[in-house]
Amino acid sequence: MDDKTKKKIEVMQRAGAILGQVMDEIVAYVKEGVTELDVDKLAERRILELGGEPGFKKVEGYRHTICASTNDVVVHGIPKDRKLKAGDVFGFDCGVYLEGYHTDMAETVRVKNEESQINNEQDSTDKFLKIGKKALFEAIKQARPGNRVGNISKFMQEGIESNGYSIVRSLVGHGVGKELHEEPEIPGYLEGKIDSTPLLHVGMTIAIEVIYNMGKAGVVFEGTDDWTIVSEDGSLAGLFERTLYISENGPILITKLTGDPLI
Amino acid sequence: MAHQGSVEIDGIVKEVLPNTLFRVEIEGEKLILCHLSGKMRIHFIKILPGDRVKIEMTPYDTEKGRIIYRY
Repeated sequence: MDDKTKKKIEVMQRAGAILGQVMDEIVAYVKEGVTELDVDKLAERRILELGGEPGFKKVEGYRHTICASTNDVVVHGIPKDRKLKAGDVFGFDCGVYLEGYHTDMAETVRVKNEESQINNEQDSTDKFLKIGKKALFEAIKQARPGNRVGNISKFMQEGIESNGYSIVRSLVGHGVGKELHEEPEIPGYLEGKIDSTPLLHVGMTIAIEVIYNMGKAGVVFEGTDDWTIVSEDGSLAGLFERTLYISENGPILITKLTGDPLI
Repeated sequence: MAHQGSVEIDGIVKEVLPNTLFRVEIEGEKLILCHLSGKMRIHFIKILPGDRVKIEMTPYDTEKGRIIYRY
């Protein structure tokens, strides 16, 4: 790795540490009665306190720190004043910008009410989320030098679609660095041969995301703003994303939550 | 933040412009300003009006595209 790449990774790791910590705090904060805007304000305040900048505010036209994607909202939900209810599937996406570099991370949680903190294994929605997160981490393991984007995509697709859910086709993971969205595109599904997808090499910094619906893959703009995208059939949508870099020995997470599986 | 993936569309080259730019007509009689992909440049693949080509477009700019294959 050359010095420029090492510097990029060093800065991104510091940004990722801030982002990971704020995301941990959001997970602890989210419960029944909290509004999406409350979460947004918490994220912004904490990112600034920890020395970073909200990365999403650098996206043209976007004025918030997080994307709040509840229930059938797939991605890019603008945080609203609505109170979260117990059982809601709350997906939140956030980015931290530090010293010229972006980081990107997303997680989806089931909103619990004040008393119950029990994770019900039998519940189909909890299973939906568990499978998604597992698929992401299995796919992340594929991010090693010599592999291709297609290897990552294939694992995401199999992890999700083998359970009857659908990978959203029109939204993708991406390289990340000086820009929030860079080459290569990292779809959650494999189209064509793995060999025709871009090669992965040491030093690459990428954001791998698994974006999926419980029902069919179709998504549409919700229509009330330029951003919110919902599942076409109204089914629940899940979103998990981590930024990582590719070292000689494989993937190393730049953003992580406490409790993330080891890779 | 999730990124909207690029799409591949077929089109017909209508006009050859300077600097390897092309105007390509896609479905709906829409004209897209396209440049030539690097791989096609390296292999010296010539594009003429009337050629059927595959272009890649990003949803973030619907006026532009990149020619990635000539049929």
